[in-house]
Amino acid sequence: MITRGLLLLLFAVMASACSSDPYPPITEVPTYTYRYGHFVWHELATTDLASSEKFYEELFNWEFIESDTDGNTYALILNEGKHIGGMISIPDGNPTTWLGAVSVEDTENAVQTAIQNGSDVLIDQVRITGRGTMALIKDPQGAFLSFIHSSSGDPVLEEINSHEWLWMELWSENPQQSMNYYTSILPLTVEQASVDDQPYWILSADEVRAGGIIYNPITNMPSQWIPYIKVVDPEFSTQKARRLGATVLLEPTESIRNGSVAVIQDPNGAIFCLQKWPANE
Amino acid sequence: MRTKAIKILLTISLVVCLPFLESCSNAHWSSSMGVNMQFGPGGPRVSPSFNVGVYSGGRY
Repeated sequence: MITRGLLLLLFAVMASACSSDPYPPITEVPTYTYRYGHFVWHELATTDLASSEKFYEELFNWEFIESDTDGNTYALILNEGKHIGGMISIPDGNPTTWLGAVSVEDTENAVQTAIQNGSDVLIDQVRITGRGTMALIKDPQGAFLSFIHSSSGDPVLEEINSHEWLWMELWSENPQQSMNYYTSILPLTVEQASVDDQPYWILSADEVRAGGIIYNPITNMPSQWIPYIKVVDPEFSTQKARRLGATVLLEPTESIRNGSVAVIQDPNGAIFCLQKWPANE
Repeated sequence: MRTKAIKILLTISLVVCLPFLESCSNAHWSSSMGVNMQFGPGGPRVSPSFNVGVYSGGRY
């Protein structure tokens, strides 16, 4: 079922990615600066665009601007007017999932390096009008990852507002292998830390923290990248998500990060986390 | 006559069962492989089995 789903997902995204119709750029105004190795864009591939929009609109007050791209619908996500990501409609039967895009200097080179390190290429480099070049790969443990070289530059690093992307984390079946892989294909360094007596590996690019790696806490799913979204009150947002039809995988709990984190599966199946940051603010 | 009666019976049975079929669209069940499945509007998907004891995530 998953293989069939991946093929359909691949077909759907390819069909939209090959479009000559313009996609929204990832920056509202061109920056022409780059943050290679950092996640700079997020997209939800969803089997039900309308219900996904409704869920995230009610949970985070996100707004959407829809555009038709080669027969498919793309919804640009705005948080308080700021472009922060997108949603792509994919056919039924596919896994709804958040896809993180890492900034790379050369998408084609990044794909070749990923192949040499054991990746499967789901979408080879495509040039997307209005966006730049992108590719979609699957790492050796099955986690999806996009590469992007934006034609307008990357979003600048600035203070993260509520309901924006706070962090990206790889839930890995084999963190050591993941560390070797990601430091081989991207300009990343890694340092080991400890959280609540559990190991934690921090990835940095250009001496700025870019994400983390932990052991995969989900026993029946392969490795995956999980986005964290900043909230003011994790408990309130968790209960609101539940009322909107989400499944709560982890309630905010004092013993874990002082209750600052929750793990949510949206009504269509995509997993994301809520986090108050800083935790003691 | 008998065939017509069977058709009517089948139609009535189907109509009576429709609400139950619809209610299955969000049903949870477990397969013999130990994988929890969930049926939603987008089709079947795996229900994640989350191990709290392993989780140590969050921005660092």
